[in-house]
Amino acid sequence: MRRGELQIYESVLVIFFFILMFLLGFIFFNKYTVDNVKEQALKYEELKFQELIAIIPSMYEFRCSFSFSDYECIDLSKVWAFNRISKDYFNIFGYKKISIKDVYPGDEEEILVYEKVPRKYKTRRIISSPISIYNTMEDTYHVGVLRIEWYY
Amino acid sequence: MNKAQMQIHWIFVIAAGSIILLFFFGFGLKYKDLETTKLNVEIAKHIGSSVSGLKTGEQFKTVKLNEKTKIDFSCDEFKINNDFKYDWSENIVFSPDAINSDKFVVWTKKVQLPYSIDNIVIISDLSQKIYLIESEFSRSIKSLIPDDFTNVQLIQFDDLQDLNFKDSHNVKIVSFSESNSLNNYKNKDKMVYIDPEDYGRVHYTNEDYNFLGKSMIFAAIFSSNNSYSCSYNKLIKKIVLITDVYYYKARYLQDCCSNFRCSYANVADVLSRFSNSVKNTDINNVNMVKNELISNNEDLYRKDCKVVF
Repeated sequence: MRRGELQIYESVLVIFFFILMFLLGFIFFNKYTVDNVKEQALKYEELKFQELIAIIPSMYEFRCSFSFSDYECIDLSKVWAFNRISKDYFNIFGYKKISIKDVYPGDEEEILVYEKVPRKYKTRRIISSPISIYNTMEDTYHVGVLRIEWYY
Repeated sequence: MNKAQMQIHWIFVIAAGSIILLFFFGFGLKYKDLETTKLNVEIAKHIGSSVSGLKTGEQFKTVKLNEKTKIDFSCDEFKINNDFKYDWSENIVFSPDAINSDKFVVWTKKVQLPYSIDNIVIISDLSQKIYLIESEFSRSIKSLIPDDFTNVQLIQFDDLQDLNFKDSHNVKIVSFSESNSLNNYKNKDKMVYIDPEDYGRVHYTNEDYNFLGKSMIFAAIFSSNNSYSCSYNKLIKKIVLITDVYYYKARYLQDCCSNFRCSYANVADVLSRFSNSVKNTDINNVNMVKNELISNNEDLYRKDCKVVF
């Protein structure tokens, strides 16, 4: 092989090496970008999940109402009624389990508000908050805990 | 080095240099895109959480952004700077089609029919001038609009003809009487006629919709035709869902708490009829059955029974 040919092969090899290095760099950077966007999307989902704990007690589907006025408590008879139509709320709640626990002076009974659990999920997050619940049948107010489980 | 070798050497330098430059250029562009998307996500989150915070009651707020931002609204989402889409399908939002500004007003209004349905979200672009043609009804409507809506102004019908509509793409005219003919006004898609009643018709240039209650009058004043049409349908679905909740509650009360004084079968029946009237968008019937519902509920209250709503 002549010296000139050898130099050409050497140059081609260097270019090939360069391209390979930059391609690898680009792939890693792209992965970093995609991961970053995914992280942002997850943060956004998490924000919406955390907002739910404040939104649910103020939803008129559950909120106590007497003679056209609304009060800061959850009406258990409305929760019972909501159970019958809860499938229509998938676009709002998604894959979650929402329940209320009657803590005081109740017997820690769990009342299911909404449940849609995916067949497969990687992880589950739970948040809860104290609420006031109204038992229509007994006409009494109890202390309860609103618990939201998020599957993703 | 001979001439041929020099040429190859230069080709190599140019090729390798171009690849390095392209890489840095691509890297720079990608990085800029990523940072822009991150910023857009932050703006969207700020708007989203502002609205969620307001939705817990009837409130209003001027949302301020750090810089002029283009926000495109559609029925279930909004898009920031043609980039990041934020889903808010849980909200019923009445807004212009797009806003290109660094501030806008958000107002949450309760829809009560006769029980509370939802707090609808009304968004107004402060750079859009909204003229309410003066009448007794429009004066009462204007007095109920918060002062933050600095873009709303009452105007005499005759004065309207004299106005210079140079910037007519950002002007909307609202009339509560169809006798105010605005045929001379060129930009007809920015005109809306609303019946001066508690329920009735909203007439955009080519389409008619219904409204039920004052909150929807405000919605029609500030929203575009597309937004009103879509959010109106969402609201109807919500009314049906909430009515179903009360229907099942009435049945629950019938099972648990009815006696010789308190019967809930009749209210359940009226609620079922109310739901059908809403589905058929028969607004006269909706209003009639609504009054029947109110009287049934008040009747339960008078008899010292548990009320349905």
